Amino acid sequence: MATSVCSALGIDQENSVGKLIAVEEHHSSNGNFVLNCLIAEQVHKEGSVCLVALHNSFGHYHNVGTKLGYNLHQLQEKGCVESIEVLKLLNESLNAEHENRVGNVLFGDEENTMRNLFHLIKGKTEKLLQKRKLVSLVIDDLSNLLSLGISVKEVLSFLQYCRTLLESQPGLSLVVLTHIAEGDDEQQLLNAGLCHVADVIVTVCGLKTGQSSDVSGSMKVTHRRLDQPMIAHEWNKQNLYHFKLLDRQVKVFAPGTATCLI
Amino acid sequence: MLSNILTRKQPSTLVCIQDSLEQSGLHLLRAFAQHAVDRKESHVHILCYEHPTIKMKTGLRNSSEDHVHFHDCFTDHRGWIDSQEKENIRSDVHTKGNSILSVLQTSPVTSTNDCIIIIDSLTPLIYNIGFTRCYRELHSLLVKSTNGLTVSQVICLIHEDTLPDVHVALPQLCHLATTTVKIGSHTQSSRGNPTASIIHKKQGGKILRQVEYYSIDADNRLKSEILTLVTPTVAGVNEDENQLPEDLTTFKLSLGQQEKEARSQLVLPYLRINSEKGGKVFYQPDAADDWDEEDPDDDLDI
Amino acid sequence: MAVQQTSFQKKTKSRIPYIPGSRPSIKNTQLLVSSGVPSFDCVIGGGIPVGTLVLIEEDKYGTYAKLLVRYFLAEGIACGHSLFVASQDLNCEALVRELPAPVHHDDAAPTSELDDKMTIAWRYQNMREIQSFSSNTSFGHHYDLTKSVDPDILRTIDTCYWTGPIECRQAEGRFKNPAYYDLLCTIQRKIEEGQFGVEASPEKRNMLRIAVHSLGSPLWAEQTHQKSDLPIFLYCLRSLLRSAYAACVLTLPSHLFQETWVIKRCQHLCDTAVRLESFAGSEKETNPVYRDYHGLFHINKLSAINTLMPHVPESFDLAFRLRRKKFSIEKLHLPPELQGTTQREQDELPSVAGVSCGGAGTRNLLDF
Repeated sequence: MATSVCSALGIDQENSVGKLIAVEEHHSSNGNFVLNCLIAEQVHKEGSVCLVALHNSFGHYHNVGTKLGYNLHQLQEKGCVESIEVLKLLNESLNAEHENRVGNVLFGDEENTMRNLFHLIKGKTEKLLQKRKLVSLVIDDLSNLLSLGISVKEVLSFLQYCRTLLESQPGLSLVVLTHIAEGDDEQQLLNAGLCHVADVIVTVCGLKTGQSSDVSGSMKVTHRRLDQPMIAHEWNKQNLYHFKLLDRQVKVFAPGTATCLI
Repeated sequence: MLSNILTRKQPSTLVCIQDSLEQSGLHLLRAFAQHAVDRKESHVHILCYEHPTIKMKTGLRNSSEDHVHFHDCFTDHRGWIDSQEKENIRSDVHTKGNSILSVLQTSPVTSTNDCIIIIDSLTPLIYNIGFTRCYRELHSLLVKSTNGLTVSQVICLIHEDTLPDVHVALPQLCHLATTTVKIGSHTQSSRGNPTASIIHKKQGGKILRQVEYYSIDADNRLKSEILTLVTPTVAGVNEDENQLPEDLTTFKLSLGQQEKEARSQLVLPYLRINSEKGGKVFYQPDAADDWDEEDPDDDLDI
Repeated sequence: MAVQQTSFQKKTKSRIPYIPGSRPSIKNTQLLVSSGVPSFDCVIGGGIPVGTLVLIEEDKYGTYAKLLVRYFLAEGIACGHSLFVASQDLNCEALVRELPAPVHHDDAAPTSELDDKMTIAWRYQNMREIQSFSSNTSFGHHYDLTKSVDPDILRTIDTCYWTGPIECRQAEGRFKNPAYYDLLCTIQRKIEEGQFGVEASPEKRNMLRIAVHSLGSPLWAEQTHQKSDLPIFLYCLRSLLRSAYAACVLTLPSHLFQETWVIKRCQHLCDTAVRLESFAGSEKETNPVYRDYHGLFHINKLSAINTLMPHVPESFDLAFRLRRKKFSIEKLHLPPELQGTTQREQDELPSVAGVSCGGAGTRNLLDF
């Protein structure tokens, strides 16, 4: 069910440990499915997941997960899944009394907020690594930090700190989704900052020609092989796919080969 | 020209490599770094702001020699790890990620004499200390000599799509640089290799411009050649404009060569090119037709 | 330490609380409420999911957006939900007093007029406009715009109004605009006091319907050189809604916004985003193609909460039409043959190029 997306990303063949997968979700499309499929793959490999949920509540990921074949609540009870629900944190900060607002998500200083969030993540990933060898840190969606009024500088610093975890915590892999809309300078800068340091970039957009009931959108996968020597025509190769979201699976196919057309 | 700059036949104090998401300049930076390491004449300081030092180390040969120094400006660049218990630390002044000079001053004086500095990306530095301060630091590296620190060359990489206020910052950086190398993705005439647009300011004041395409092998050796653009004829340019973009749909919109020939040879059924008079009706009566030679309007008084 | 659930996934069916006026979605167990317009419900996948934000970008003169807000609130009254109305542009209390009354069974005869016409084209009887709810369920009603809601019923409804920030309110935290901050705090307080939160356990569960009219209009903007607080407000509102039995409909006069990035951010932060385009006062009003409709209905985004796949409507080319007792959103179809001209246009024009016979200078009517 999630395998078609994972094989398109090429992560079933290559090891994603120590790597950063960036998901670039363009406006008018929904890239959430990539994260859900990557979580499915991680669960399948018997790894753990640390989910930083900025866009939806944990229940959403659980519900989608049941359609794809895994139960996040159960895994959480077993200690294989940790989550940080930023929406909940935000709720708590709105309810907080004046005196306790120093390290608060909404009222605290920008840098402190990011630092606290980083430490929270670090603690959770360390805890997960004690149990299992493979841990995937999934962040959905990085650009929502901008909607909290936090500047691009702080968000990029936060991202850099998360990347340092790739080195200091072996077995960790990182998946970050960010939303990007044309005309939004902050989101463009954040996206560029993320993609430059990513190992795999998955670009999800809607179709250029409009909306279709047979194809939900297009997905472009780019492997930036910065470690390997440049080979003419091969470096930065991009693979373009179209995908269709269904109730219990995601179908991925080459452009022009949607099942209704064949 | 790119090779000359790399091998220092054409001396350049500040080489600024500009890349973008389309084509990364990291390989080129590594080629520069490798050459500096192989020369063994001066100490080489490699400052890693954007990637962990291990990445640069594994990418270079002979990187563990004495004259090669790696500085980790990537981990804990804002001092967040140490200050977990303390709140509200304004950490942007003293941590190692925030000043090139202070980073270099941690090295022994012997290594900073006439050294070469390689910076893997200026972006994190610009975000942390601001563009103006970064500019000032680069300038002081090139011009002044403080505490025994003399720099013979600085090579840095900058991602133009990550700069805030890029239309202001980038020209300013190019103004400071002796050589600006702007990386572009491959074109028709570059045989699949990335291109580099080079602007070099010679000491005498002369400006050299060149567009080349380059390739870097597994040993980080650079090969570059001048890119000769195939200049299209006027008709050719028009043809390009009229051509349909091929990747708009999955249907084949253009014609192949055979198809074009077939089209030109096609004779349309009712078109006969009559050069004498213009159009005329050719009527071939069948056996069953009743063709009357008489003019039906004979009885009219016209 | 188990993390508490905050949204509406339910392990067993018995955990879905019964709230009048709501029902679970057919596709998943997501709880839905009606928007007050049955065809709108149908287009967005059955109804507004509880805990989500619906963004409506206003039409140029705001008439139809205001109408959708009225339907939303009227539906709340019909179901006995609590209401929260916020606007700086109009008088909230008057708006609620003048909400339309629901159409009763005996009054409604919506389909009988259509039945009469379909004698020859009887095959098209089945291909009617998008409407799926008969009026005998408690989900979704039609409203009569000429009748106001009964004041006795209105008195029983718990209504809350917000018409602007209090004088001395200062913006706190990352907010710079006191209006947004004040509205957010008021909503948060209402959710707490009314025990609408998921964690709360009141005796009888009820829903809160929040309608914010003309958010971000010129009355909201304080200083133009500052970055807008609208994204921060919406993100915080999203977090409040996700852990409450509440649904929110916002209207945004997006045609008045200078910066388009703000609108896109708002679309991203809301779950459902639609845009109304009314024909009134535009050249489309006289266009015969659109003569049966009052405007176009654009869908920018449909909610994908608790599901992998967002709802896909039958068509994305939709238009709306307002009648006294019904506001309907339908698939845009062209009217039959526009003007009956038997003469073909090309017969009037001289044939210019291509295949022609006859010499130059004479009349070139193709004579068959």
